[in-house]
Amino acid sequence: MSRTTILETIQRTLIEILDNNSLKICEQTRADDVADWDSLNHVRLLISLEPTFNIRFEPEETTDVKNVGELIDLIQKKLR
Amino acid sequence: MFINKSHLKYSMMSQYSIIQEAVLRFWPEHASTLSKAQPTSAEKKLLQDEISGLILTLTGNDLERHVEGYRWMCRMVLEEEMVFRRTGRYRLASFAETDRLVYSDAALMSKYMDGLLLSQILWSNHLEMLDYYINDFLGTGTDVKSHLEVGPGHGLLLYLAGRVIAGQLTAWDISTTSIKHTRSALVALGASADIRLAQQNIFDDSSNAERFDSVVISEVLEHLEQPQAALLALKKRMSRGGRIFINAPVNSPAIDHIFLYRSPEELVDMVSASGFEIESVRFAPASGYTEARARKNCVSISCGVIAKCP
Repeated sequence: MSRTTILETIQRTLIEILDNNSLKICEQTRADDVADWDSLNHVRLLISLEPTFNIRFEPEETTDVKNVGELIDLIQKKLR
Repeated sequence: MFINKSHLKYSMMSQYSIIQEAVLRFWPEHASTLSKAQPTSAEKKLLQDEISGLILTLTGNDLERHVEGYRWMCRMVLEEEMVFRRTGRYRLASFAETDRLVYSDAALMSKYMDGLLLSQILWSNHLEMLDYYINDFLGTGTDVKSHLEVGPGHGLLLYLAGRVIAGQLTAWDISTTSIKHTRSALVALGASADIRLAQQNIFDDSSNAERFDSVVISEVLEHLEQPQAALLALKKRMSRGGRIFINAPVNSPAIDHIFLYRSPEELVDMVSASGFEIESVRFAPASGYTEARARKNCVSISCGVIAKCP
């Protein structure tokens, strides 16, 4: 699956979770750059992405990624 | 006025800042979370600082250890949140299982108690419940002749009660370890020596027992399989016209939470159904959330209820 497709899915899911229709993210975006993207909403994001990609995140992965690009890396690794 | 403002006025550095700095030194990434938990009113900032002072008395030279416990607790809550979001339930459902996996693990409980203590001023919902307890429940406390707290834990609520209630103070816990912990905290805080701490189960026979006109059960109900039975048992131990302070969280996963309240109303209805008359309620969402957003997204809300025993 392409990085662009994964990025679009993450953005769509985040828009829903954060209730923010104007949200735009890129691979360099960090959670700190986005209002309300706190640790709890990050968990909500990961759990929402699990059925979409048919993957499962581990607890330690809730804090492992530094930006969206690293989250895409993680998802791609799990999809292999 | 409950808070000693003159003392705070002359402090060189706020008591809260000392704790905040210790947390951020060990965990800089937590800065944005802490900033969202900051109280906005001057009254609450004063309360936060006053409670921070008490906490610093309790942590003594072990503030760093408490910070480690706090970080561990925050991580544990996130792990439990993953389970909660996947399944819609808390991980554990029975007291026996929680006792085996959590309460019997002394090292884990020590970290947990340390973390919980700091969360009283680092999490806005916990600070809000302290404000509700102090101002709306304790008030002047002049009419209270006998006060009971069930599960006094870190001892802060019991200590605060002792500052305004002239009557007899009693606290019960089923764990002797917890009682020892509370006793040490009360000694460190300089509380009155005649507070009675006893190993006592609220479900024990109460036919000839004394009655209390002020009862506190804070962050206990969510640890029980049948919280309503606990409320009914407590009601039997209360004087007519006595008041009870109840604090329990909804949608708040943690390793030892087994009873899931899905809305603040579930708790309030349970209190009413147990025969209490609701005097007031206060709902405090997790730091950074409005009540509406917390309700919509099933995020933790601390729920305080003050009720009367008719």
